[in-house]
Amino acid sequence: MRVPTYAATTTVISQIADLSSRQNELQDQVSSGQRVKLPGDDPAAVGRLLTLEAEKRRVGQFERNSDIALELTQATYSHLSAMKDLNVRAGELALLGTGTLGAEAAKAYAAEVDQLIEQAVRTGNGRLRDDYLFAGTAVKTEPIAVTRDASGKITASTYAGNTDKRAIALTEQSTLDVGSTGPTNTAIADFINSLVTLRDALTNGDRTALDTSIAGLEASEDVIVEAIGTTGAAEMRIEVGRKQLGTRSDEIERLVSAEADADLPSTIVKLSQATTAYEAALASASRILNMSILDYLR
Amino acid sequence: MSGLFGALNGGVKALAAHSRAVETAGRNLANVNNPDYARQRVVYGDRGTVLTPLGAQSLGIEAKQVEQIRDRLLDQQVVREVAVSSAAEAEANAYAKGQAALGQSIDRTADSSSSGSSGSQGVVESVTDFFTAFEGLAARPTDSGQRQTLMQRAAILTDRLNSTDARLDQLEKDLTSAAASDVEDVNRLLTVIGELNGQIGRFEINAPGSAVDLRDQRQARLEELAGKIGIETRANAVEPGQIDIFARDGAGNEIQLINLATVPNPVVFDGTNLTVGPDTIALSSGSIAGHLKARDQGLTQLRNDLDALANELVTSVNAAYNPTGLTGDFFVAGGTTAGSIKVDPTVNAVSLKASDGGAAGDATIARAIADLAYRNFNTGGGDAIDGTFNQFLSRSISDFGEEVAGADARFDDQNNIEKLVRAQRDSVSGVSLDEEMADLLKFQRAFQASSRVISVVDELLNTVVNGLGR
Repeated sequence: MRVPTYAATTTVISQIADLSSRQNELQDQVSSGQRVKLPGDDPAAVGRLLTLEAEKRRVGQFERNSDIALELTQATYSHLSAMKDLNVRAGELALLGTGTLGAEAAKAYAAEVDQLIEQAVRTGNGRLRDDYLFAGTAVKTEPIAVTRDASGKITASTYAGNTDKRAIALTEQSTLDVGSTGPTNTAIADFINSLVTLRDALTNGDRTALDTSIAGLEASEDVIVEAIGTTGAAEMRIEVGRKQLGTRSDEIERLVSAEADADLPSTIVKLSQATTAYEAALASASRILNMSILDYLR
Repeated sequence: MSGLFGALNGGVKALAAHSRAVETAGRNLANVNNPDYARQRVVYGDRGTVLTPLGAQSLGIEAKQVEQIRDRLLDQQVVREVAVSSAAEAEANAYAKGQAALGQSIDRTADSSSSGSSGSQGVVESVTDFFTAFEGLAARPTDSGQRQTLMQRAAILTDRLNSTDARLDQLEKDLTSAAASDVEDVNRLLTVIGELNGQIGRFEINAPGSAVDLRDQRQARLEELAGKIGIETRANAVEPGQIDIFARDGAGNEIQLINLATVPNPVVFDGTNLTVGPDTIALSSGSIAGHLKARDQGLTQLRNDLDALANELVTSVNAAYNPTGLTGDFFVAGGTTAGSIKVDPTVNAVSLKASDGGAAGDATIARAIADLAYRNFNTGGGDAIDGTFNQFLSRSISDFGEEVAGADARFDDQNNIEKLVRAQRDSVSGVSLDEEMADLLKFQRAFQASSRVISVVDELLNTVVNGLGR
């Protein structure tokens, strides 16, 4: 086939342009580490990648939700533990009250119970990030409403929150009830009322009322202990779920990497091949294009 | 004429013929880099024969014609392939611009798990981030930071959809404008080709095929025209030197674009169709076809998908956010397209509802909206999309990616075919420097030999005129 001069030149230019484009494409893959960037690079892979990326973002949100749930659960746990300690101390004081007490001693115990009442109210109205912990979903309402007498002593408490549960999604399919439940919250108000009864019984030396308060304290303790157990279990579930989310995130990352990342060794080898071909094309073109019959005519 | 004077005359004619050949080789060399030029050759011929007592004798050589080395079939093939290549190139370019306008890319360096803004990514990520923000609000409904994040992500989502739609809309307008501009070129080229047709007809009345330069120009303009619109050509039945150019309608009937030197009707573009007089051209190749195909197929489908997504977002989120229809929507109810979707101006981080009048920690609405991310919609059931939001978008973008990749592959393939056909034509019509230089030597030697004959005859005549009879 005849190879006219112009065609030889355009063929060389076209070949060099193709090789240059290939080099550029491979260099971009090597430098970015990515095989796929735009939808047109590999449409099917991009479709899968977008789904995986969305899932990864959702998993990230669930991890953050788990953190929120854990924070809330831990705060609830610590407040309930504090409440239990108050209950234990109140139980001890009640037990002492059942013995023979002098008036001064009874008054001193009553004063301590009064402090326990104040502490229990503060704990029952405990907050996390400005939200009340023991109010159900009425997190902006002070859950333990108290009545005080003229001297400022608490005479009664009522639960002012609601019985709804706070639920946080930990995965697409599962949500976890976090914080305390309505019965627990009500039991806290009851516990405070039992403390009030105890204080008044100690003050007045009323044995019947003392027995009533002891029964109330025991009932409250049962509820609080059960709530502590439930909260601890929830905490463990959150931590296990958090680990699973981490594993899922790693797995998604592995799948994304398999779809999107360039295989560096083979890409570098291909780049090297393209560079060699480019250099060879330039060298051979410069020789061929420089040569003509004119070089041999006088 | 015979004898020495005859030989002298024959030598002079030979010199003239060789001069024409040298001149032609020189012209070929001058056009060595002209892609439109077809190499030329001098056709030698006998001036005639006379009867002499010694028998029939030639009157000598003469340059009868300068002929152009062209293969008409290859020329037609180039015209066809140029038209197909141009369509593929225009389509590939349009889709590349569409891909840029969509702004959807995979960036492995971006941190997709951060709780802050969604970074500089595409529509898919902004939709996902929008729903995960509701997921976050459901977990912590009273948190003002979470509310601010949600409002920010809602703004990013609507802005992303609005700006993507605006860019795609502008691209569609640009493609329409490019097609209109190409149609102007088509009419200009038809006029030019008509004029060249007429000039070739006049020049070639007595010598068919002799208007070589005009034929080069016409072929170049034909290829330019084919780059804009798919055409067919054939030699005119009455005037073989001139060509008919025609396109076809949807039924395959010919639509005449040029009749000898005249353009019967201009090509008219109404934004959708190309018409010539009462006939509508069925566009199959040429850049106009490429522009309009990309505009009316892949890009329109992509915009329709984004509109459907926006529609479903507005409808389903509003239904979950305002279940009674009395407490205000999240999105402006009327903005159900990608270009018009907007967060209701009354919704802000403070007024944002996590529940429908419930306690502060109640997040039933936020939960319901977050759950929309997993809901399978069904157009058969009256929804605007099929599958989840993410599945629908991923599929739509993947489909558009197929259009982009397909157009690129078609362009690459077609480009190779065009190169092959051009190489074939160049192998026939292209100028070779080596060949022309060798020819130049050949003609130079022939000229020198003929000169030598004249010189010998001159010496003989000198002998006859001055040497005899002394």
